[in-house]
Amino acid sequence: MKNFLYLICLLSFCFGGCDSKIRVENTRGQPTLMEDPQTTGAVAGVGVESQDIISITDKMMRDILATSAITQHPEPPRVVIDSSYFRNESSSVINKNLFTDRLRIELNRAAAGKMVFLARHQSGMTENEYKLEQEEVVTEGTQGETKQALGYDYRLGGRIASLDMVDPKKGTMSRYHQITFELIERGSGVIVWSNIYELKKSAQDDIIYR
Amino acid sequence: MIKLKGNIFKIISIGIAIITIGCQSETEKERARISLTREGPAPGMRVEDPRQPYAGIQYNSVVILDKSLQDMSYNNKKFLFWQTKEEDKRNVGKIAIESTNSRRTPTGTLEVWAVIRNRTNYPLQIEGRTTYFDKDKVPCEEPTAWQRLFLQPNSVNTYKELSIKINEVNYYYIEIREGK
Amino acid sequence: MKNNISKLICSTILIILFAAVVCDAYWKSNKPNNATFNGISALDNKSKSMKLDSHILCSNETDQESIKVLEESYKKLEVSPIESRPRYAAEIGICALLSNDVNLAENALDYSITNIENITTAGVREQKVTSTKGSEEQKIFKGEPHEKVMVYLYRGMLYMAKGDYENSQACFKNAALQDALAANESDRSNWLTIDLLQLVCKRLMKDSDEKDFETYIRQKYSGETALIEPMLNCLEPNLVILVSVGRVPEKIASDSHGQTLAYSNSDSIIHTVCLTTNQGTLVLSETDDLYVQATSRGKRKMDDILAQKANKRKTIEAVGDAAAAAAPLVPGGIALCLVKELSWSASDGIKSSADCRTIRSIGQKLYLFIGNKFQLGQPLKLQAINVDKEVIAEKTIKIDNGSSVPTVIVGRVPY
Repeated sequence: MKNFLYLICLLSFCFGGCDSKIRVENTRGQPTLMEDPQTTGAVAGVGVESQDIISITDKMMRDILATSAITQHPEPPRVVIDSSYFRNESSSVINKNLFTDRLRIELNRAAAGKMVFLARHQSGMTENEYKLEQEEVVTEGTQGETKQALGYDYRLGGRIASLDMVDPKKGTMSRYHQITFELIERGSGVIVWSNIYELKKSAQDDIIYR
Repeated sequence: MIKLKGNIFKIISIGIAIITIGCQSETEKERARISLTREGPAPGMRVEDPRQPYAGIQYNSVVILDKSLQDMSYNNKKFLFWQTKEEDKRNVGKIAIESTNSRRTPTGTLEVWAVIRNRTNYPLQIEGRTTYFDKDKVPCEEPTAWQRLFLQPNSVNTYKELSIKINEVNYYYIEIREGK
Repeated sequence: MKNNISKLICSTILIILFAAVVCDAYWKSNKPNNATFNGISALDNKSKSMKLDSHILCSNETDQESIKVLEESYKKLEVSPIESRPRYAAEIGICALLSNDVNLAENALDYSITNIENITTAGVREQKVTSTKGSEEQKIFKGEPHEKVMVYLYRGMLYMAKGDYENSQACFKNAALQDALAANESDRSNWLTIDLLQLVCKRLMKDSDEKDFETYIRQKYSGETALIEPMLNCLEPNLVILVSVGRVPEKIASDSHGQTLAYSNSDSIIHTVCLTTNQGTLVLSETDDLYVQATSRGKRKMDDILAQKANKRKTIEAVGDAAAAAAPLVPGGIALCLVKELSWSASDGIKSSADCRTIRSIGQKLYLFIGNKFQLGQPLKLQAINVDKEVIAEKTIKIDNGSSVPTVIVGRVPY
C-alpha cells in the first residue's frame, strides 16, 4: 500500500515536471554582428534582400559594359540612371534607389570614361546653383562659367513585378520576382539594351505562428 | 593488502584521472614549446606541400568550395560476401565541371564560363563567382557577386560571367559553393 | 523504532514537497507584471475617454501631448520583453499615426512589419513554447491575420500620404496576403478596404491594369454594389478618409483550460460616420468588420498544440481526482488527498492558455471615403453618430488647396 502511494506521488510529479520536448537551455541574446551583405542574413523573408540587390546590379553592370551598342561610340554617350522610371509593381516594399544608386555608381566607376553619367536625381542642386550665378549671388567656379545641364542619350527604365502564391494548408508562402532593366534612347524610344533577373523564394513560418 | 575486488572500480577511476591529467598530446607539447620560443606575430605562410597540390589558387580553373558538394555518400552494402565496400570518396562529388574556358566579347571584356553537370538525382542550387587577375597574377578587380545557378537532376547548366576591365585581365578563377 | 523513524522521514519529505508546490503556485499567481515601459498606461483604453481623433497625415497639425508619451515609449522599446516588442511597436506606430507624428509612425510600424515578414523557423524559443512548461505568450508576437492586415494598412496609408504610391500598393498587397491563409476560400483576402485602397494607388500611379482590377473588385464584391459603386467611380481620387470605430475584438482563452482562442464582439455605439461639407453631407461606407475577419480565419495550428497540452492536464487531474475519490475508503486517506493537491499543482504547471495579447489601437469597424476631384480648401466636419442620430464625436478639418499628393485623413473613435 505504501509503495503504491509513493508511486502515485512520483508519477504525479513526473507528469507535471517533465517536458515532452528536448530540454532547452536558457540562451543569451546576441551582440551586434557584422554580416556579409552578399549572403542571406539572420533576418530573412520572401522579399528582395541585400544579396539579391548586389547580385542583380552586378550582373546588369557587367552586361552593359559588354554591349558594344553603348560602350563603343566615338563620343561617350550620356546616360541617366535613376529611379524615376523604375517602377515597383511588386508586393515587396522596396526603396528603388538601392538598385539604381548601386548600378549607377558601379557603372560609373567601371566605365572608365566610355560612358558619361548625368545626375538627374540631383538636378535641383545644379539648377539652384545656375540660378544663383545668373542672379550674381555667387561667382563662377574655378573651372569657368557654370555649364548648362546636359541632355541625355540613354535613360534607364524598368520594373519590379511579383507573383505571390500561398498554400493555406501548409502555411507556405512563395514569391516570384521579375526585375527588368532597359536603356532607352532619347527621342526615338529605341531600347538599346535590356536584361531581366528572376528570383523565386518560398518559406514557411514555424507551426506556432501559423 | 588492499582488497582488489571491492576497490577495483576506484583504482581504475583514479588511474584514468592520472593518465588524463598528466598526459599531453605530442602536438600540444610542440605548440607549447613553440609559443614559448617565438615572439611577435606569426608570419603568413603559403602552403607548398606536394601532398596538398590543390591548396593554392588554380588559375584559369573552377574550384568547388563546399565539402558537401565534393563528397557524396554511398550506401554500398555487401551484395556477396567476398565484395568490399567502396570507401574511397576522392572521385565522388555531387557536381562535375564538364568544361571551362574564356573568350573576349566584342567590347573587349573577358567572358568566362563553366559548364556544370548535376551528378545526383536531386535538384541542386549552387552559387558561383569569379575573380580576375592581371598578368602578374594580381587581382585587377573586385570578385564578382555570387550568382545562383539551378541544376535539375542529372542535368547541365552554365555559369557565365563577364569582366569589367579589358586589357588588364589575363587570368580568371571561378569558385563554386552550395547555394543556401 | 527504525520503522517509526523512516515513516517520520517520509512524511516530512512529503510535507516539504507539498509546501514547495503550493508556494510556487501562489508566487506565480501573484507575480507583478514586469513590463518596464511607462507608455503602456497611456495606451490602456480604460484610462480615459477620447474624442473623434483625426488628422491629415503629413500636415502641420499634430497632437503634441500624445507624441511626447509615444516618443518616450519608443525609446524604451528596446528594454521591453522581446516577445512583445513587435506588439508595442505596432501600438506606438498606430497611435503616432493618429497623432500625425509621421516619422515615429514609420519607424515603429516598420519595426513591427519586419517581425511579421521575418520567417521564424524552429528555434530555442519555439521549442519552449510547444513544450509543457512553455506558454504561447512566450512566442514573439506577430499578431493574428486581422492584426497584421491593419499594421500593413496603416503603413500603406503613410506611404500614400507621402506620395509613394508604389510602396503603398505593395503594403496593401501584403495586407491582402496576410489574410490568404483562412480556412474557407470565401474568407481569404476579403478585405474590401484593402482592395479599394489598392485601386486608389493604381489610379494615382496611372497603372495600365487599373481597369482590370476594378472589374475584379466588382466581381468579388458583387453583393455590395451599392456600397462600392461610388468609390469605384473615383477615377481621380484626391481625398481618402479612413476612420476606425469601436474597440478591437477582445481575445479570450476559452474552453476548459483556455486552449481555444475566441473573440468577443464589443459592439460599437457608432452607427454612422458622416462628412459634412459646403455641398452637403456624405456618409462614409462601412467597409470592414474586424470581428468578422477575426472569427472567419479558421483554426490555428497552435490550437492543436494547446489542445494536446490541455488533454495532458486533464489526465493528470483525473489521477488526482481518482486518488481523492479513494481517500475516504482507505487507511492513510490524507496522503491520497495530498496526491490530489500535488496533481492539480502539477497540472497548473502545464501552460495551455491561448495567447490573448492584442493590438488595442486598431478598433473594430472601418469606414472609408474616397473623394473624386474633391473640392479642397473648405472646412470638413467629420462626425460619428449613434443609432439615435446623436453625434458622439466630431471634428472640423481644414484641408489646404493645391497639394500634388492626395489628402489622407485617418481617424479613430474608440467607442
